[in-house]
Amino acid sequence: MRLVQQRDVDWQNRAHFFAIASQAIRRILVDHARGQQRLKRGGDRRRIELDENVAERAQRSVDLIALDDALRTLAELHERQARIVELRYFGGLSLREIAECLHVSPRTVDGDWAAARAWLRRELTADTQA
Amino acid sequence: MKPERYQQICDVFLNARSKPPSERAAYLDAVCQGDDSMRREIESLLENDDAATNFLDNPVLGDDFLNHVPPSGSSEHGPRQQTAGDGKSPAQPQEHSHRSQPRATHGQRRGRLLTVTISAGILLLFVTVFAIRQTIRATRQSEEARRAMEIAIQHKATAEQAAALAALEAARTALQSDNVVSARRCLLSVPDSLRDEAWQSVMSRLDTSIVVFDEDDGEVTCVVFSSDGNLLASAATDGTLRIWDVESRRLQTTLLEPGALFTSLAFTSDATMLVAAARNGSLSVWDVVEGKALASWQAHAGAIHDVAISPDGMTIASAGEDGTVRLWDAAANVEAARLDHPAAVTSLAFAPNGERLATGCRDGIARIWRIAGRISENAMEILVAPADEKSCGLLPVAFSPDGKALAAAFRPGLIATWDSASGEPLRFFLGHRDCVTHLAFNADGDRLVSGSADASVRLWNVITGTEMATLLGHLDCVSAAAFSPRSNVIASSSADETIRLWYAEEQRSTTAP
Repeated sequence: MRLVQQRDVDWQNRAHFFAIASQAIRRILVDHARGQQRLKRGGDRRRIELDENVAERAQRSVDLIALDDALRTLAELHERQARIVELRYFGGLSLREIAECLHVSPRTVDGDWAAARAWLRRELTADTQA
Repeated sequence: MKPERYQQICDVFLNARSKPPSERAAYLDAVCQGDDSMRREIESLLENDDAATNFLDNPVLGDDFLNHVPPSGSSEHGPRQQTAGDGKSPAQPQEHSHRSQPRATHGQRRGRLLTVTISAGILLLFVTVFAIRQTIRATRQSEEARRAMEIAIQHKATAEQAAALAALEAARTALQSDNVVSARRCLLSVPDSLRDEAWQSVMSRLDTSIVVFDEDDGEVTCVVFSSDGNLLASAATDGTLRIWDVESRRLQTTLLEPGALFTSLAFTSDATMLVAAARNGSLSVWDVVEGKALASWQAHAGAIHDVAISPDGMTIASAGEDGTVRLWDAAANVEAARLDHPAAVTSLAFAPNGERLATGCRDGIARIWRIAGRISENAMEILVAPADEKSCGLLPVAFSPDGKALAAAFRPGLIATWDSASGEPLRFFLGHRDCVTHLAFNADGDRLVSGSADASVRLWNVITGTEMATLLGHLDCVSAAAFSPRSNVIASSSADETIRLWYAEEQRSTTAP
């Protein structure tokens, strides 16, 4: 009984930490990406070349700035979906861990994740087409 | 778009998604019913869902990213080996063509040989250049990959530090509102490697108690000092009564009654016996020295919430859920008088001269009864608070040592003292953030200590009504708090399975600059 409680407390701590960490990681990476974008627009060629690869690597598959903007919009439509994406993509939590963290069933997380992912992908590709 | 609309779209999308693709159109026809914009929305989500394999699946700084980088760097060797092999193969046709044309004329042979040699040379040159370029490119890629990885690791470290700082700040904020549990959770969320001095200093503020007795096996429901202050008795939900030696801070005796859920305790004035009340309505008397039960009887039909022994030791008073206070002849353990209340009685306290008894009832009224042998009368009723949804269901009462003041609490966080003769309110004590569970005066009558469901114990100046110290350390509801009759030690018990001791004096000097 006590052991279970203890584990529960530990998990609560971890979940709490991951929630803060995911936010921090998102902020830092998006700020970094925005900084890169400003440099590119500023036309400082040499410094772009220096950091370009890093920015590309970090953004390998996703435009972080566009994702950040889209997540903001999503948070207004469905806050939990936005949080799930943050915990998954920026925090690296598994869907099962997210379910425990948010006190919802894994099924709910699965559904939210699928909907959020489809919605975000649509928003991001619409952005590049525009 | 409105959140409600989005939720609706998500629901239909998930339903459609769970169906085979061939059935989706029919399903959408049925659900959308002419709502074209909704249908378009869902169809576009379904399209994107089909195309979204791997989209966002790999955490940006997760293990996958860090693990993924080195292989792309190690491809450095791949292309080189491959091009080295390619470099050989063009040389073979040269020999091969030489042999395959044995009958050609000498001039033709020379011409062909020349052409083949030149083209092979060009090919070799081209392949060499290609190989060198590939090598350079691979080296550069591995450089980039390594740098990207370093930056990623750096970012991860920065993020962890930022998270640790945020957690520390959150802990400070929580502590400002005396929320030890939340502050503790924030602090414990910081990884060991990031627990610095600032972390330590906040952590040290989480528990200001001097001693922690760990009960281990159950919530502690009550704690009382003996009249000489040498012993401390506690009751826990695991059916144990424990006697602690205050001076040596050791467990002296454990009395066990399996299955009993003790709610309240009282020492006889010579500290040789202990009266214990239980949730099943039974009262029991224990020999503290011998460690055995002397007597036990069914006192109330329902739970007993509080028990007290009169100053002369002749009477035991018990307060019950059944709405009665019963006075028992302590020598014969027989009922001497019954004080009827309109609702459950949650607490009681004898005045120091033993002639009056104060009771706290769930109807929101504190009553003072005059007692003389078998005759008792309700001398005064003090409306502490009307019983409504804001009330706590507990009404702790305490008499000051001179018997002139009565302290009581009913509303969450509200404590007050009344003149016990006139019923006039004297002082209000505001600070607790949840229901007050227990009240006690010190021997001089100038300090009041309170325990609360907000997990804090607070020390009050009775004269001015000001809070002198917030004693933080318990992690759950405080069930009782008591002043040692002989020293400035406060004891408290809690549902967090511990008993804590505190210095009232030290707290006084640290909080008053």
